[in-house]
Amino acid sequence: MTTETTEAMRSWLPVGCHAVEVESLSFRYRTTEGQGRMWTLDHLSFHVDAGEILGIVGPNGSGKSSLLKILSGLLPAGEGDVRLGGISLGKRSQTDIARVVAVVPQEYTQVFPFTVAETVLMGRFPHRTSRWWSMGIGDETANDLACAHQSMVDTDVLSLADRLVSDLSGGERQRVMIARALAQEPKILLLDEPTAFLDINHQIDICSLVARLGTERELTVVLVSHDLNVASQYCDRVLMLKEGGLCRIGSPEETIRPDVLRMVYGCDVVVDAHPQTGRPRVTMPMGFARK
Amino acid sequence: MKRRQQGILTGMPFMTHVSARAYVDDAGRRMYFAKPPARIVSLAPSITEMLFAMEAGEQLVGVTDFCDYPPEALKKPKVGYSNPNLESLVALQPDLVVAPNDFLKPDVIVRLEQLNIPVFILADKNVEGIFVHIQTLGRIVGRSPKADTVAMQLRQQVAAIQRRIQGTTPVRVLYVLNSQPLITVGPGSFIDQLIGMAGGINIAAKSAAPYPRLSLEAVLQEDPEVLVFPVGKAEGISESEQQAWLQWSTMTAVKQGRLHQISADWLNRPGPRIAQGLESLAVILHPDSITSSQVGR
Amino acid sequence: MLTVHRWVAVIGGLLLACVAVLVLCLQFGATSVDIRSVATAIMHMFPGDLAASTRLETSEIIMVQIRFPRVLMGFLVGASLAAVGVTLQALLRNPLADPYVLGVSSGSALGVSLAILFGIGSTFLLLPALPLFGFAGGLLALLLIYRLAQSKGRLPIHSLLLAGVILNAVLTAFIMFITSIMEPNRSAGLMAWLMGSLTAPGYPALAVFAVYAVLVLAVLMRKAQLLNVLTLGEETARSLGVETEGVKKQLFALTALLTGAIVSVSGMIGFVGMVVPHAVRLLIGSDHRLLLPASALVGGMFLALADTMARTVLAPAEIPVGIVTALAGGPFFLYLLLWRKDRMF
Repeated sequence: MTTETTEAMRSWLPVGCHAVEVESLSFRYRTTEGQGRMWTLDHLSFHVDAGEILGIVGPNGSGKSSLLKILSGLLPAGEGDVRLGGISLGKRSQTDIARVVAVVPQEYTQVFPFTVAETVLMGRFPHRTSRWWSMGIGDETANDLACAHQSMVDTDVLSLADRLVSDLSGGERQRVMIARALAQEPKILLLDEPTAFLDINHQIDICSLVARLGTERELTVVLVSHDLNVASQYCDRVLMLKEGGLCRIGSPEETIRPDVLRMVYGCDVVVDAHPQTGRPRVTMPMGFARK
Repeated sequence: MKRRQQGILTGMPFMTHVSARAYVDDAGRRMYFAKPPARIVSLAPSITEMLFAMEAGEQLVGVTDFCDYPPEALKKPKVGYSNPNLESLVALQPDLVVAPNDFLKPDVIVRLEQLNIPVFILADKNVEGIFVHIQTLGRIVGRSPKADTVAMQLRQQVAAIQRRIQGTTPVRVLYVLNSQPLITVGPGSFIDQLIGMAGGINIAAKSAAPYPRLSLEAVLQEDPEVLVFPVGKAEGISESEQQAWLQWSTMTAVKQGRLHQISADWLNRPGPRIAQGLESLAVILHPDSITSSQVGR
Repeated sequence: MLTVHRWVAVIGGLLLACVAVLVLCLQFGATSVDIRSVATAIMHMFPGDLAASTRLETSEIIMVQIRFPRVLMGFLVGASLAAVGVTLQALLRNPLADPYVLGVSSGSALGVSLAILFGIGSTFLLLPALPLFGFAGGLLALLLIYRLAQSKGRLPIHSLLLAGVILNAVLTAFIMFITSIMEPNRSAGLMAWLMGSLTAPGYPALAVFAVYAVLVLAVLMRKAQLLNVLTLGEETARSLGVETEGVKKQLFALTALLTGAIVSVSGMIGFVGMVVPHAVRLLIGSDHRLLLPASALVGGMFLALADTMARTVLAPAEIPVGIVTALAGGPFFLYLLLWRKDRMF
């Protein structure tokens, strides 16, 4: 299984290429064009290795979400180059991108009564093999069903298969969205604030799930998070953005440091070692907190 | 006993004065006019026609947008129609507003009364009612002799028409107010009465409403012998819409080619031209008996 | 989950129900017509029997020329309304959307109002005048909404809704203005039309509408899977490889074209486009590959039945079918709102 997957990854990834390569990327929203406003992203260069989990952190408005949208092809790269598996985004069609990258959005609301299974199966959309006369009915192949099934097993939502998505709790819905992303059989998984609206129990749940999937499926994972501890505990490397520019990239130990955080966020925090992993742990300082 | 009471009441000089100049309108409201009104506003084309017919045109200071007969009416200031402009109405300083019961926005009368402008309401119930209205209006505006003459002539004309169609077999009629969807006149409407007086049977007589949307199926079933299309400047059924009726080839009216136009103004307006309207309708329904009598005249 | 088996079972069952409903509707009307003459009448309708048509009985004429085309038209209009409703609800991700939400219908209504105001007759350039003007008005409104809502080559959903609502308001004001300056006798005709009504169309007109509606419905059907993905949200749909801008423009144009045609033949018939998709969704789920055709069939049956009520309740007079659909649909919608809140909203 592992060798097979590695084999598949190799065929996807030309020798000597990184999974994600970002070269001198600059971007600003069209609405602010010509107003002399600052670039949302300014000459950003970095790469993500295959199988790596990269966390993107930074203050509000530092361009985290924009960067994630550019990586998934939702926003056009302004200047510079973004390559997935050695091929520029501009040279890939939307469907082609969808076969390589899957996105788990920050929040997901469904106003219509779709079941979990139906939702996960929609992840197979980029791989559909529609015949013109079928009008989409019975398009799901055995492979599609097996793939969706495995995704639900991996994310532990199989028991929810026939429930309506709108009836689920926040944590369950997040897992369904991850299952839907996995059904895409992506090489790269992008997550936008995966723990933003979850309680601590579900935060742990989702974070360990992502870490486990990264290993099991040899996925390259890029996640954006507000939570410095999530980035520190679960990511191999952390990319720190400040005002659209790359401030620092490296292991959690290299990036989650009081001096770096003061520079980026402009405030003092307490950083010590996590008692279990030894990785940096960020705590709010005493400040004016009541005793 | 009764006679004595009357004698007592009419014997009081004060009462005789009141009864001579007091009138009750069709809304049941009693009104008193010390002298004939000199500035009258008419809120219906039929009322305008009545006032001109009794030669009270000079007393008329305001009319509706749709008052186009007689031509002199077009020169009068306009005040709107179903929702008249209160400001221009008041600016005309009327001492009497004559209003129809239908079509008028209900709050208009209330507002006018609050402004101390007397409103006399005429409700169109039947043809005889028109003649009574003419006589009543004539007394109010001080044109009683002329109004009585007009009413009498109209009564005679109507009676003459009815005499001429006497003995003829009634004809089944469909009066097409609107083609898409089909709207016609039903029981309770003014035109339904005219159809009966002109020797016709309204095929929509079974409909419960005065202006029903009639089922086309029912039309074919009832098989009208005559189709009547009201036409006019501002309303009516266009030529091509009339042509569309020719597709119903089994209908007696179509087979016999009896599709007729009639001036909508004559029938829609319960005014002094009603006799003309009735006559033209009778001519359409009973061409033989009417023409012969006309020749004899 | 949708399998071919389930699709065939549901759609096949609904088709059978449709046939039953149509036959039922054909039996009721202002006049009572024997069921056997329904059969003979239908036999007589086939071409080659034109000579026979001159010999037809009145009851057969009623059946062939009036009731049959009207029931069919009711079915087609209902099916189109429901299908447009389903599509717009998914496109706008709003379960309250209906075919009239985007202002195209007001454009059609204005076109018809103008035709009535200027006394243009039943035909114009040899074509049925009211549908022609209605359709032209709808097309102009479509282009206008498109221009208003489009920004930098994109068609954001919120500006589409906003442009639709505003155009609706403005065009409705124009229609009100037209009715207010009309002679009251004639504005009654316009009001009757605006209230939503079905009339018996001639066969050429019926055929044109049928071909048009079926073509648009077929194209919509081919987009059903895209509708499913669009309900995930626009960004997620794009991350699944959907060219959302293009799809939105196509769907908007298709639904608007069909709405224009619907309004031009039947005026504004409310509730079918909103309530039928809801009801069907409750019964068979949200997968648009099944929901779209099932809603169309149920919508067709619903309107055919509602129109049969409208034709018969006060016979020989008729009531506007929009009143029947609102009276039947309104309480149902309240029920959804009050008791199924958890599911629907």
